[in-house]
Amino acid sequence: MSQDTKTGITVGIRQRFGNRSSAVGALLLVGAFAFPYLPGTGQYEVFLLGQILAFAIAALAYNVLLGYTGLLSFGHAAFFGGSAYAVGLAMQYYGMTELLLLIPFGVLVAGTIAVVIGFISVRHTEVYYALLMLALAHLIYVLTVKLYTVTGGTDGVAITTPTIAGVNYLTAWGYAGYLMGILYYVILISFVVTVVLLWTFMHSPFGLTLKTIRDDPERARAIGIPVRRYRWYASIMSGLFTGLGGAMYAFLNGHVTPGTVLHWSRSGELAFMTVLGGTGWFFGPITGAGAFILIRSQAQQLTEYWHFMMGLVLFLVIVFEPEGISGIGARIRRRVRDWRGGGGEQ
Amino acid sequence: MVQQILSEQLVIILNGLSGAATLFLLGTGLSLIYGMLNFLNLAHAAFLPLGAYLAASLIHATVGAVGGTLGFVGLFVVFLVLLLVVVPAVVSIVGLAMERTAFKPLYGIEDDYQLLATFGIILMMEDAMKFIWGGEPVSATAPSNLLGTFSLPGGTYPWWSVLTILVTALVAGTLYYFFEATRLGKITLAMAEDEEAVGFTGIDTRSIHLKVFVIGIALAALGGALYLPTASMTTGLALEFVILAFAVLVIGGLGSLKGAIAASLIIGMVQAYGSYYVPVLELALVFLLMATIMLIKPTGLFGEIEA
Repeated sequence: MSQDTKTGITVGIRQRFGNRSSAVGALLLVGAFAFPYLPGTGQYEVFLLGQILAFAIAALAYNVLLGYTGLLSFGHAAFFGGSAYAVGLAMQYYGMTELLLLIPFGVLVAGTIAVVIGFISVRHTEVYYALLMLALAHLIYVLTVKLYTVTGGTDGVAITTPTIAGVNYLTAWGYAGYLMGILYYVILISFVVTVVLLWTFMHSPFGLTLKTIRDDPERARAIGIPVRRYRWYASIMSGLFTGLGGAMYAFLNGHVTPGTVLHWSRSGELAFMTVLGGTGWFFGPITGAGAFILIRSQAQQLTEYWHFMMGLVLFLVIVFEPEGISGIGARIRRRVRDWRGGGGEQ
Repeated sequence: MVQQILSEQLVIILNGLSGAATLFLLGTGLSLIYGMLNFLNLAHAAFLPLGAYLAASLIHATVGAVGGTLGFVGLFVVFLVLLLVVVPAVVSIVGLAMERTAFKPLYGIEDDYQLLATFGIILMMEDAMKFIWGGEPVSATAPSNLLGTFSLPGGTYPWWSVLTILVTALVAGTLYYFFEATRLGKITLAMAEDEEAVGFTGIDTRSIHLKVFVIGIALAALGGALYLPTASMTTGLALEFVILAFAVLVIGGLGSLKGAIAASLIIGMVQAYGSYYVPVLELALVFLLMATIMLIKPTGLFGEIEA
């Protein structure tokens, strides 16, 4: 019987991922864990991958709304920055340095913000949802800038080195700061947890309900789905995981300012990553976050006008390939298959 | 004492009105283009900084070339022509070129993707302005200095701000007349209802479309040109203006001129009184107001078009 169950699971996994994809996935995962020890990787590369993973967490969360629920948010900076600021302020005012407490705290704060502004915003859809999220998130940005006695204003808040389970990971690793020590693994594990949890949620009846709402809200309402409430739940889930990404960003950068984590252009960037990777595919946003960070780091080395290049990429993607990198990938796979099929017939 | 309080109030109201003038010029175009053409252009607000930067260059060039040779009146007339005519005209041409290349491919796609693609465009415009005018704050106070200030009990106030208010009031009146009383204005309003049906009557909707688009951009550029002599411009401001333009759009109602006028006045006054009595909350009040209005009346104060 246990044999049967096992086969059942294997078949199930195979059906979902395909043999080759799961092999690729496993290989990537092993590669990510071994990454700091691979020949040729230095501090910079590990930092870059850490940043990609942190943003990938937030972009995956963003796609819960854009890709699965059909809601464009221009307010995700509130969740991302809310969590980053929660971490920074808890360190500054309460001397909290334990990473294992700071992460849940940041996520919780982001979740609370999502409960409130999500509740208000889901009363509307489409452009109105986007603009209401924008207004409420910008309210938080403006307050953070203005209440400088509490938040440090535009100077932001420094994030000191946290401890992990009471151990200062920097010194515990032997050499201070080498490859960022355990922090990289904290981010990697958070990323894996996010992928597993969101995959599970999005392939559960909850995820299917969201898709139904995305495809046709009227019909969803007609078959008895409380559309507004599910949009609210989706906003909260998206907010929680975006907060996780924000907390990771804070630890990684050691400093947060309103301009880098709370400004509305940060929300735009998360939307950008998601669209760049492809909203229609679960793993799309990961590719998008990776491509975004890599293009940006290359562009920044080339020119100080890297915003221009990012803007151009976003524009071209939307005009020519709205399905993003996943869309390009799917098209290439289709071409290869057609070509093979065609070759066989001849 | 009473005189002191009155003059305080007068300064606050004047500040509110001149703030409202900039907001009106910024937001009307966005609102008209969304209401009439159903195109949500996040990049619209970037034409205000573009106008301001261009105004700065033109003012500096003028002062350098003919500053000493012209008398007060001559110089003032030159400034007026530059800021009220040349800047909007040049920026309109830029806008027209962008309409044909960058904006046109976006008309058919979903609102969400329009917002994102125009977010890409605003990033490009910001960097293009940074490339041309540099990252340092730019200012050109010559026109304002020329007009000077008038004194109030307890302070002075620049005449330029009064001029800004008057010019904007004139523009608002002209637009109002255009939509209420001219044939083209009526056609435009009809297009907002049903562009296809208007097209069937043989009217060239594409050309009217372009006119509305260009008028919107010219207004934003004018806003920048009038704003500059009493303030300074930095590149980051483009992204801040976007938010304010949307506040005007949302509070007033999409595509409503009356709404844009009312919303600019309300926001201008909230900002002026806010920055006087509760400076910390000045901008926060604007977004709180925006959120409240969206909750109570999602279509804005004068909006009728359902999303």
